[in-house]
Amino acid sequence: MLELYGQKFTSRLLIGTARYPSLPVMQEAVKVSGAEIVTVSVRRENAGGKDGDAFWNIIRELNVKVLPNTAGCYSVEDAVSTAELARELFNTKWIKLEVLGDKATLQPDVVGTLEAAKILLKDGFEVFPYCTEDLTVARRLADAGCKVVMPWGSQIGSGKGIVHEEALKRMRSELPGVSLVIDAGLGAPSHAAKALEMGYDAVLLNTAVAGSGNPVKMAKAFAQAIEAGRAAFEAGMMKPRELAQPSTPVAGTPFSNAKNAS
Amino acid sequence: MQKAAVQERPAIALTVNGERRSLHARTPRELLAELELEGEFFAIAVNRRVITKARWNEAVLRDGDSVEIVTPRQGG
Repeated sequence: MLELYGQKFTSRLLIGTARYPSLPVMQEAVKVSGAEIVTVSVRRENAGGKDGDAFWNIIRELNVKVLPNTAGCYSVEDAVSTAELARELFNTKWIKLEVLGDKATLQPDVVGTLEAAKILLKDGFEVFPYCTEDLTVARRLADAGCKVVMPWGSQIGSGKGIVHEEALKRMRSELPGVSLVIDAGLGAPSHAAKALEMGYDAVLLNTAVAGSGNPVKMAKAFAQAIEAGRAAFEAGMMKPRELAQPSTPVAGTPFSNAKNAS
Repeated sequence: MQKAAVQERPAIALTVNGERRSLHARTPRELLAELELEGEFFAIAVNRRVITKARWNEAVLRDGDSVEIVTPRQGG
């Protein structure tokens, strides 16, 4: 079971609710994905508040856990204030903390992220920080009290998959007690399977499903890949070898003689 | 307070969601009514401090205050 701040979940997929062709498609994709947690955002009201109501009613029908984000925040102050609004709006202590540092890459400002995480943890939030593959930063976040850390696979919305595999494997082995979620950059179900095979506890994705040719079908594909990846991790994969090793027993090969059979 | 009574008061300058406006409301509840916001799911911060829904009738808006009114929206 996936454990996040003491709560247990069967699905290891956290799915975003943005960029779908329509709200009904989003709703169906989330259902098919089997995800028990969805990410949402806080935005200034428009259309007399009706847009927010329409969206929120659909989320409530899905009966899932909500993880609000601080997407689009480029300062500690904005991220903390947005988190406080999210807590009031969604009635949850959970916050996906994004403090961004660069508009082109949407790379997290890891210094600001750590600072904001400390403020929010002290204020009673359960923080899910979005960070890079940097082990020291992840460790500092965990030391500060984050029970979940969410390093990127690659840039948000890029679909490049897991770019920093070595560093992320290292992070997994160095932080065994932290729930690690690959957040951002995944494009194909195989990327998600890879994350789970590497021992990551879960993945968080959005565009890979929402921006695909058929979001509902793709949601299912990701769910299957994640299940397969986790099963492979639990089973324990073989270690790669330098050279070939016959899978069929050599002993008793017809026409062989004692001399070259060894 | 009734809408008509609210309108009789002198306007104050409020920045609402980044836009500077001249408004008569003195509480968050009156502000929602004056802006004709019909949705149900809002959170409100005044000068970056969240005003919980329980205090929408009593929290006082003052000239020069900056108000954020937000709703749930799609996110990744």
